[in-house]
Amino acid sequence: MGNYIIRRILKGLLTIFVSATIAFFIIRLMPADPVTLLIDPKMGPEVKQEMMHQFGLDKSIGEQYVIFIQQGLTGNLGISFKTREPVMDVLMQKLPWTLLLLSIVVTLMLAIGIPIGMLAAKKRNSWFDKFISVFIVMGISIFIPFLSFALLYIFSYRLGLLPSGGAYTPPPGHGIAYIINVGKHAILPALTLFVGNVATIILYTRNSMNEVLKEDYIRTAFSKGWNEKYVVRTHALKNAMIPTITVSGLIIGSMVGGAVMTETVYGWPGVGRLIFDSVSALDFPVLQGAFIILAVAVVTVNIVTDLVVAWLDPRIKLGG
Amino acid sequence: MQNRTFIQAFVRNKLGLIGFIGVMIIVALGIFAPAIASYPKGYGPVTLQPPSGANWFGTDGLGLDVFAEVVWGARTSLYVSFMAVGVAAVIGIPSGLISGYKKGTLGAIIDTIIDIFLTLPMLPLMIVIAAIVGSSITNVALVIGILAWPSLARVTRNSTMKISEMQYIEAAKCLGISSRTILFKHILLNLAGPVLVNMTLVMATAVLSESGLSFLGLGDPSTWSWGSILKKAWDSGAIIDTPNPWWWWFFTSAFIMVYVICFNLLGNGINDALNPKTRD
Amino acid sequence: MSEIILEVKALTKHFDVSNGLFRKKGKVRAVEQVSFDVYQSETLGIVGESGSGKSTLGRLILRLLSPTAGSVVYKGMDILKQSSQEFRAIRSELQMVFQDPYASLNPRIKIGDAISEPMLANKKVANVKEARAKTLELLELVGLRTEMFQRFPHEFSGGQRQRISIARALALEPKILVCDEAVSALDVSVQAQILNLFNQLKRQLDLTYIFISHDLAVVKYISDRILVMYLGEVMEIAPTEQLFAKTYHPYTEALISSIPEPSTKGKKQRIILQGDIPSALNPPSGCKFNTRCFKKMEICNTIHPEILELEPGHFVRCHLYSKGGVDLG
Repeated sequence: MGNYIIRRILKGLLTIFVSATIAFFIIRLMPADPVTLLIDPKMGPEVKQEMMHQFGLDKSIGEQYVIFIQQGLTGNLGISFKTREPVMDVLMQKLPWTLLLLSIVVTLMLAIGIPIGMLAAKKRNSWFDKFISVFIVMGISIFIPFLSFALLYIFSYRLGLLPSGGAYTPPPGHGIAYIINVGKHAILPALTLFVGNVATIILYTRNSMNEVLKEDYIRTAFSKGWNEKYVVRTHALKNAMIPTITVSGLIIGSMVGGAVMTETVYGWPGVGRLIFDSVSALDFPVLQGAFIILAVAVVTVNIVTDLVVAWLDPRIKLGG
Repeated sequence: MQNRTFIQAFVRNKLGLIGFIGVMIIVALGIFAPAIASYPKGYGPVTLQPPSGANWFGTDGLGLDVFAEVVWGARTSLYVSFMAVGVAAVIGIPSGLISGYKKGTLGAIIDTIIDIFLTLPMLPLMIVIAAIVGSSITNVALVIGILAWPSLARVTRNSTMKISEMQYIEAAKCLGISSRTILFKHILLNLAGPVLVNMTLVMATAVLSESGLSFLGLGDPSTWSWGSILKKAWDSGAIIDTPNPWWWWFFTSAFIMVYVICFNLLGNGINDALNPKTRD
Repeated sequence: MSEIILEVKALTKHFDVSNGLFRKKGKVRAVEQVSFDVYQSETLGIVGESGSGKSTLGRLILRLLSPTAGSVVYKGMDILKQSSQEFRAIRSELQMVFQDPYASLNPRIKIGDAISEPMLANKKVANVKEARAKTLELLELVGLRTEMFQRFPHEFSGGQRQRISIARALALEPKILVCDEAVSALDVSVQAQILNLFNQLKRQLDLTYIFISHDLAVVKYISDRILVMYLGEVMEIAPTEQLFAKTYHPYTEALISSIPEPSTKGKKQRIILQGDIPSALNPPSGCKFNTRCFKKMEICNTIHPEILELEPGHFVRCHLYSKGGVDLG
């Protein structure tokens, strides 16, 4: 088991390293040199030289790469072209908002998706199961801006129940008032991300539950006359959880992608909206940093889910 | 004969058939766009007209016919998604085949690369790349394709590993058939099913990615695509402002959804028809 | 007896089993020091329970697995030491019919192509037309109608598929055919038909068979000589009649007693062995059969018995007949 954890963490570190490397080299793919984009053409060559130096662009690519990785390890992701602030500071202002949104969604997703998936498996081929199947196909096909527009149109424009954007209405307020303020703003973005991703959770829970309920040991347990609830809870649930947890780790990547669009539409001040704003401002260091920080988040979630799976599945413990 | 039973099984699966027909209709719209509607450009006579006999989907902020935009957008979205899947297949299938058949270091390395790419948050990476390489249709298609290959490679690899354990592969080795023939004939023939299913699903996600990128302003500004229609609607406040031209975004979005749903249904249908357990 | 066509010498196969990076590695001793000769035009039956290493043995002889040690001499050459280039020429002379008729034919390849392909790949025929003509001949030879050429495997029954597999192996004009549980997956009535087909083909084409099965009744029916395997080792080798007339090894005795016979004269008592075959990962010391043997002696726990030729052509590995045990002479 210890061995497995070490290998899993090493792989996570490798993934982060690869992301950083990709992020570094993508910037070099750019047709124009970043300084040209940054500098007013009226600036003299000395000023240009000075800026090249400031951004470390006067060194060879190899040196720049080594410096980039070294600085990355110390949490230095460079300086924003737009605001001249350290990228890390910019990201740290935005990251909590994204994490807040994602943790609301993940909690809801597991708390609602798993029971629904289990119920659909238990009532196999019932109207409920069929309805869930339709919902799953719709859910995995959702285009986030569409859902966002529809929700905004209904709840914000037509009904006027919920705010149309931002994370709070100024003044933010304090204590409970602040929480209510933010909570109201979080409902629509969270609902948007929830609908698409819960479908995947329901799908996997239902399918693995169906598989598990067919297995010999479950049938044996039933034939021993054990209470159905007990069998499902103790035997089936644990084994059916494994694919569901694995897939929750895997969809974190696409959830983060969804968060970019959700945050953009709702003006939620997280990393996703930051990416959108940096694209229009051509702020490449921030784009680079945002991608790396999201990769780190995704890798961390993946490691955690893999460890939970290993803890649930004794085969991995032995094999590891 | 094998194929006939597949087609029979597929046709019996109503949802799969609906998916297939839906995909075909949208593909036809894209291909015959020039015959269906004239290319929307410049300004139209009346802006923000609600749907009517003349403008089925209404008109946009410039007075252009939204239906024409959707039809021409279909052309771009289809082109991008087909090309992206092509790119993903060219990279993903051979790397999956080789890593699945040749165990050992090479297979392990390719597998690790697949794993890493499957973990990365794709849309942000696509955004970063598209923002840097510039947003022509071809670039967007390449970016989506290059980043979609790992899922195809994973499916190919897993199926290849399963198939290469089959007795008929051992039999082929025993009969002196070369590794190349075994890999590119005996294994590839049996891969067609799972790979086709995955390609359909990749097609669905490619359209979502393309629409997402152009919605975020990373599409080709010189052509219509579904995402860029939505971006224009959103930029001009069509969702929550008054007057509220809901038709501007609703029909376009509905097309994206229908297209993606149809591809997902098609993929499920093919999968079920190939699987002898669910076939009957 | 006729001349030796194939000599298997001290053939050994160990599979490495690893349990993670820092764990102790284990070895599955699938085939251990197996030696025997195969004579021209005979049928040598190899019998043993599942896990006895008999299928691994068959695959080693055909180089489908690489051995840990030992040699297989065919036409004066050790084919296991040949380069793949050199072996290409020999490969077609040694062919195999596999166990599962449903798994040994590629479901996506028409049976005509399945039979023609190896001929073309090994340049046994000059062109596709010739391959087709020969394929039709082979289909007739194994008792199938020639119109089946264009069909896919799933349209055939198990017995028919096994005929196709045989035709495919025969396409390369082999001298030796290794049949690995070739009838085990079939219904009893179909088994008899396929066994008769094997016998008929042997006469027509002067083939030599190595016939591997867990079913002693089948092996008895088809074989000239029988080799009994247990946990990767040869326990007894004898001509069929002699093996049944004068059984030496307790394991063989147990196997023979388990063959169901229509006439129960009461003389035969079924010997039921205790427990399952032990794991080849951790075989018992001394005689490998000692955990289940009903004639076990003290010595069997510690000393590994050597194989002895008790009568001409009758080899036995058992302490009952070695110097350490009771000498039956």
